[in-house]
Amino acid sequence: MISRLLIRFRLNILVGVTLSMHVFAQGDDCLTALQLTTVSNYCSGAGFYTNVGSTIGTWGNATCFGATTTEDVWFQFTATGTDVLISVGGVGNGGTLLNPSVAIYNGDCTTGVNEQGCASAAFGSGIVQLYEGAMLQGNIYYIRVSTTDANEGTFELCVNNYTPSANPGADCGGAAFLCNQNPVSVGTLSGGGLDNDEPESNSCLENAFGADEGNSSWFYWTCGTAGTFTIDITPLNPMDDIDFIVYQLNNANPCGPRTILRCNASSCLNANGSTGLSLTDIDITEDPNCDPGENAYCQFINMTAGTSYAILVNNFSANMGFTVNFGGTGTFQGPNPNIVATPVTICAGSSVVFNGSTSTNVAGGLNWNFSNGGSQPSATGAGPHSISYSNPGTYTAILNGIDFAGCSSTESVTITVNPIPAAPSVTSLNYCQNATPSLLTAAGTNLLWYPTATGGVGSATAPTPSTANAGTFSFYVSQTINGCESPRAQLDVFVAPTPTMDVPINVTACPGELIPLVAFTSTFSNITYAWSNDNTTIGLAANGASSLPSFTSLNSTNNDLIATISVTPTVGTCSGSPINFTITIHPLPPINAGNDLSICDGESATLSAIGGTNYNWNNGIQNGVQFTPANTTTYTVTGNSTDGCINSDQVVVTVNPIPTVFAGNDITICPGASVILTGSGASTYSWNNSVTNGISFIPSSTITTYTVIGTSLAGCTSTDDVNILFNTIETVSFSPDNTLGCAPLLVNFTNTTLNAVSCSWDFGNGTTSTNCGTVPSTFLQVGCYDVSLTVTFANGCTNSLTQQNIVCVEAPPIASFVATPSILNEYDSQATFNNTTNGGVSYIWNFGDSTALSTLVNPEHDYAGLPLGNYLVTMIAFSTSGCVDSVTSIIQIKEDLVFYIPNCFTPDDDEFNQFFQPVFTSGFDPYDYNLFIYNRWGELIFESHDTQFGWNGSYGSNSEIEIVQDGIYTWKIEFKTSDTDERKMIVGHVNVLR
Amino acid sequence: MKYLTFFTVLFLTNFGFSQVFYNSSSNNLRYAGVLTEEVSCLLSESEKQLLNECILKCGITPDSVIWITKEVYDQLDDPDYYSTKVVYISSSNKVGGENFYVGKNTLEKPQFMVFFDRYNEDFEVIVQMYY
Repeated sequence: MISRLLIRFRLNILVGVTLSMHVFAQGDDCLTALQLTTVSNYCSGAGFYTNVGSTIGTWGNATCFGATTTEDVWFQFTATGTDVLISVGGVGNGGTLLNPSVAIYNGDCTTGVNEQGCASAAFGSGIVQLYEGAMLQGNIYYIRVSTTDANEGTFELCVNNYTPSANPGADCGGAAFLCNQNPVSVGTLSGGGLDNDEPESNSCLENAFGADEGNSSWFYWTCGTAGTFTIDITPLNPMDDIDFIVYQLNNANPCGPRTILRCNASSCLNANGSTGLSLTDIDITEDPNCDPGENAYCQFINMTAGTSYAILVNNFSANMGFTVNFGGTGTFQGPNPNIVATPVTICAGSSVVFNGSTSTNVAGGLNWNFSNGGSQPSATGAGPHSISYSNPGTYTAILNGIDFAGCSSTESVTITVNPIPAAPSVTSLNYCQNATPSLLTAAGTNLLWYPTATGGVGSATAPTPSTANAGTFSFYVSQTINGCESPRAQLDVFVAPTPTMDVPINVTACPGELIPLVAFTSTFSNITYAWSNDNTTIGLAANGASSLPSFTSLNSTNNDLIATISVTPTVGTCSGSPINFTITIHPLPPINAGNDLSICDGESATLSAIGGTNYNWNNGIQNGVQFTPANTTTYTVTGNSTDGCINSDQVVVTVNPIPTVFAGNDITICPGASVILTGSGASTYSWNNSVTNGISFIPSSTITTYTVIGTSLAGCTSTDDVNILFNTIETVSFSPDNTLGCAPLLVNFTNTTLNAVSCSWDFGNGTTSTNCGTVPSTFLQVGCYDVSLTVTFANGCTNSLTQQNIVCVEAPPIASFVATPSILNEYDSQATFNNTTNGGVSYIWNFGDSTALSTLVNPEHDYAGLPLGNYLVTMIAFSTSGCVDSVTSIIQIKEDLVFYIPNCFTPDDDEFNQFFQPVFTSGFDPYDYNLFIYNRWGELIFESHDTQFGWNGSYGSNSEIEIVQDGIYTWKIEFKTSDTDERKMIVGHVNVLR
Repeated sequence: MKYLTFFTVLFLTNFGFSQVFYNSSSNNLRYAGVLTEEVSCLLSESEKQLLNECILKCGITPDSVIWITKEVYDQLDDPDYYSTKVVYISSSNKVGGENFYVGKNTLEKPQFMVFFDRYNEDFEVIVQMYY
């Protein structure tokens, strides 16, 4: 069995958004049915309920449920009207449940329920409606929702519990009076009544050939509050054609004088077959057809308060009924019961006062129903009625009002009864006297604190108990949930007194003394002590319990050590104020015998102690008196302080031996040779004459004796001498036969040193020699060279000589020149030679034409009269040292191209200027020459291939030769140069004059 | 063209320093100035013969040649200072000739200067006599 469960599906969307969706699994059985507190035009909303997870329960299937039905959901409500219309919407109608079924029961879930009605949706449908009448107001009814099979899904539940008007008649005389705008359902119609032709002849229902009414019903009402009026008339069979007329009456008699306000006989059939008045339509009548713009709806009307209206509804198709729903802002005049309940939310055991005195139009009386949990089941009259509720829960109170016409209307109110919460949970507190108290606390909601067990005004602020006095103090606290205050809980606070103790006596001592146990005393019984020591260097622990133990005092400083002992007395959990006393340890006197002494054998010493008084030395020594120790000895001295403490110290006097220093044996060396002097017999050595012990140096020839002072590790010193003697050697000398020249420069070096036994040459050019005579060496690279000679003599000593830059090899000049021009001809035969040599001082030129050699720096030379051809010019350059370089260059002598072209000639048969004949003098190939003459039209009129054959101005051939007219003619000459065989073409003009 | 690797002998022996460059990988020779024993040793017999022919054409026997001195050389900034005779012979086709230049001064005894150029077995010799 599943009671009402809240199943929360939380979908975590990728982007982090959280959606929540509530779906309720229903009350699965009669005993756990979900209570509907409002059933007047109630709708749950789409998909609000579901039968997923429910079971069929213990009551068996309702009569219209299918045999395979396995799940059902139960609801309960208290009837406030005589009729109920229940609608369950599944697939396509506010949910997912297919083929819904619904049944209604009365009775008791414990002793038994009785089915009063049942309806199932058409197969494949998602909606079912169930109408039930003859219900008893104030009774509990059960709605049971399932399917005709085993379907599951969500659904919307709508319930309208109302008291319908009297059953409408088919004639105006039997019109039903409407007291309110609750929906009206008519199950079955029964013809047009005694008068089936009531619609006026000018109405849209007029049938000129027969009765106007097929199956009709009449309603009328009086407007209570002015406003708009709309209506929806829905046939039970959606295919039925429903027509209607809305009238305004002159009085509350539908059969009296009346005015047609709206008339609709349209055959337009909406989806559910509905017709009526709406706020959106604008027509006031629709005839029996379905013309464009018609939809079976007409415009609403505006009702006037106190005015009566009537409606004739006619089912033109059949005798099945319809449902009428009213809308708009206007209301119908009828009983208006009104409940004033104070309060509507109470605590269990409290009362609610119900008052119906504000009800109107209830001349027929007021009837109360409190049977659902109230202290009395019912009452009559406006009241007030005080009704108590002893059990927590939600209860419905109903007021039925009846007007003068017998119309009945009900009003209900829901009363919420909250439980009385339990007293909050508290814990007693223990404090020591004068301890810092805290705010009192309790486990509960909306706490209220009281100083007494009953009465008084509670405070939401928790009190803080006082610990100034010892004793027991009580406080009271309640909690309030949903406005209901719980009983008070008692919270006791116990305050214990503060213990005290006797003050101990202060203690003083010298280091090393044994300090006896110190016992603590008090007037309190069952008292304990805890002590602490702020200076453990005196030899006492940092803390302890009970009495202070015996200990040996310590003080390694030069000052008093003072320890403060703090003793705290405690009884139970309460401690008294700490009591302090001191232990003082005086220091030992800082007796100092002085630093240890180290002296050399035979030296004296004096010992003087400090830091105290009354010094006594051992070994017969007197304080501050000089003495000479024979051996190394330790001496002890004792002294007193002003506090009476005694201390001692020692000093060691060490007697060190004198070292035996040796400077080494005398030495004989070659001049310039290095020597190392090393002393021995001591730890460190110091030489005169700037000599460092063990470090090589070259002795001066003027010094022969060297002295060393040796010092032992103890600082005792001694001295010794050593002599250095020198061998004799000859001076080294050599000479070159040449010191300057051009590479390769051969130089002979001659050794002139006396008594040389062996020689070693270094010529600085990468070559060496060991010859002691004359030695040649060739220097190939430009530069200056250092030459060294080292000579070894018979006594093994050597001497050497280095002559800096003794040989220099000079760089040769770099010969170059520029000939201008370098190409000559018979008309321009002289060349100028610009000497661009670097490093040269003299020059010799050979011009290559067998003429005289020249020694000029920048000579000029004339090649006139020489044959055409190339001439090799050679220049040799010399540096200051005679180093040389040479360079050559070619001088060309070529033939020049020379020609002349006249621009005019006069072929007039005189002796002058009869031919146009270009003159070519030199530089061309006479066997490759072509002359062409053209007239103004580009016609070739003359050509010649011989420079000696010119144009005489004639034109034509054979017998038709004639002289051309005066004018300008174009010539073109093609020829080849003799020097380079280059083909050239020149073009020009010649003027013919006669 | 610059024959930097040519075997060259300095002629100004009498003026100061002398220098010999020798490249054993080449037989080419370029030389100008005074003929010394070192240079003479570098000439073949046929080349010496051509040199002697040039000297003889100057009217002087080879054994009595006086090579140019620094005093004479210093006057050559003026090419016409001394009368000059040039005799030349080339071994390639035995081409030769003589040229005379009349100067503004004369020497008591003629002094000589030579120019050799041996390149790929061709040998050209010029003997220039100042007188």
